[in-house]
Amino acid sequence: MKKRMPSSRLSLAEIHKGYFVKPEDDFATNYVITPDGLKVYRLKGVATVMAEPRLSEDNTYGSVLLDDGTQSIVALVFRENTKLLKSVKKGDLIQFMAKLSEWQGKKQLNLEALSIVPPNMLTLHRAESVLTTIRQKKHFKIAQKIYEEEKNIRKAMDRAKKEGINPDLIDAIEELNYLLEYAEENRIFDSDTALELRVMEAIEKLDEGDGVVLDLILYELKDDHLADDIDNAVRELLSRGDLYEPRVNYFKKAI
Amino acid sequence: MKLNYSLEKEIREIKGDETLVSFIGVVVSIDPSTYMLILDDGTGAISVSSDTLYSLEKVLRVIGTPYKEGGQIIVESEVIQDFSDFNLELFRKVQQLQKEVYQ
Repeated sequence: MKKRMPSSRLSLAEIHKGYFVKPEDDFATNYVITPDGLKVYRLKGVATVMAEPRLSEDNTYGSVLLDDGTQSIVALVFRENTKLLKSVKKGDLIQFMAKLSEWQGKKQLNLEALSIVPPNMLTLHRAESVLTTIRQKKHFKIAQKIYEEEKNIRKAMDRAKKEGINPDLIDAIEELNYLLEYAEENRIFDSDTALELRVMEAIEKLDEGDGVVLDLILYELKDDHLADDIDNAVRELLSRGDLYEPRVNYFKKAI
Repeated sequence: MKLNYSLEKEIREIKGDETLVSFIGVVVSIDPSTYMLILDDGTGAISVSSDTLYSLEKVLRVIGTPYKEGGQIIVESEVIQDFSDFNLELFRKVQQLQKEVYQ
């Protein structure tokens, strides 16, 4: 019998930062591996329904846009799970449990359960998500140290076990290294986030004090990205407050 | 398509050029003729357009798009949630913890 994978409570921002992995074994569950090595097979979250849920005419599938204050994501329902969307409307604060999937490079949720929750659940969810992240970061740091010192995976896993660290974390480090290498070679990672990072790096490099004119940013990144994509990334960074515009069409890092 | 999400801000931090913001505040004024509410979160006050006239002193969470009009910032609400009985003090503490962990 297929093992049911547990859920992890995490923010959507952490999910978007992670890498989606579809195992070669068809029966294995898809997951997202976060930069701290946490494999998320099922996500538990609290978010706001941002638009009226949509259902297909034959009620076989539906979708809804969710926002948890750190990111947004499209959540899907199929077949018997479409009934879940009939109980919610725009503006509801919901707690959900969902599997993770990806479509055209964008992470999505496949909803398995949801319920409308009172506002204080938002605080509880945030607190538990932060706790998950703190624990994971701490264990990941120790696992990384073991991994670097031992060089050999088997030995590193044995030592991790002895030191009370989940040996799977050593495996996760190996996997992350592979994914990072693969992503750099093939640019499979979240293209929006990657481009935003490159825009920030370009501005840091080119800024001589008064900000950097947009044309210069476009020129700097022209070999790898389309002008429209770069422009969109700049606007997104501007709206998030990561950049500001000291004068028209000049951009500076906010921090 | 790039998805937008709401940036959580204190009212004093809202500049008016954000795509989507969210904040929690108390209704301190209502204009029944224009369906405009004024919300105050202790850091500042801001006008919010609403489809519903909420009562004074109601605690609301607003997700909406800010814009500038006549030197004033107004938030066009997308979603308004009734946050009565919400423990704002505890939420602020958790937000602070989030900033420390994620930045």
